[in-house]
Amino acid sequence: MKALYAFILILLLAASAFAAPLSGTATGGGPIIVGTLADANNPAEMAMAPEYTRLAVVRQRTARSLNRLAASSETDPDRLEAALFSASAVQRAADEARAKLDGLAGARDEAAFRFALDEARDLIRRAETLCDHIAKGN
Amino acid sequence: MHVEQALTLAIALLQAVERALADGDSAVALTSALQATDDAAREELASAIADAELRLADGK
Repeated sequence: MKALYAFILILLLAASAFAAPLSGTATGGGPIIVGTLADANNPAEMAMAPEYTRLAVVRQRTARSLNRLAASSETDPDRLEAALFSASAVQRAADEARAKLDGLAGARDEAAFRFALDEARDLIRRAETLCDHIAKGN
Repeated sequence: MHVEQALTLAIALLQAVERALADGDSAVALTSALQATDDAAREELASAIADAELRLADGK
């Protein structure tokens, strides 16, 4: 796993070496990128990005743990059934959190946005706790 | 932040930047990139759940 992470990091660093120059003037070769900074930033997007990330990772980790348990001949059926129950609960909590995150764009004001974001975070935390229990064999 | 979360976010951000560069956009659509990542993760978990159900059914 660490080797995979190292490979991905090297890939990311190598990708940055091919980054296109950002310039408001025409240059020969490479894309021209013109845009204003003030219009490009969305605070809501930056608040939601970590939560979308947590969602994806908790689903991926749950899937891996469940696959590992299902593939092992040493896993007893009761443990697999318990893990399956928890994994289904992870999926449901993640779906509910995802619906809240997707609906945040329609929040009427900052207070409503914060409230809905906190609700989504609680659901994600619940999913993460269940995921950890599956991994530990609880 | 867990290292796996950081990697997932970094990869989605890079993909969103690549798309913006390809489309000539100055704004990066990070949310849609992360939504796509979560969509794929959802399918992965749904598949794992289905496989586990089959395994349980075979074992009974």
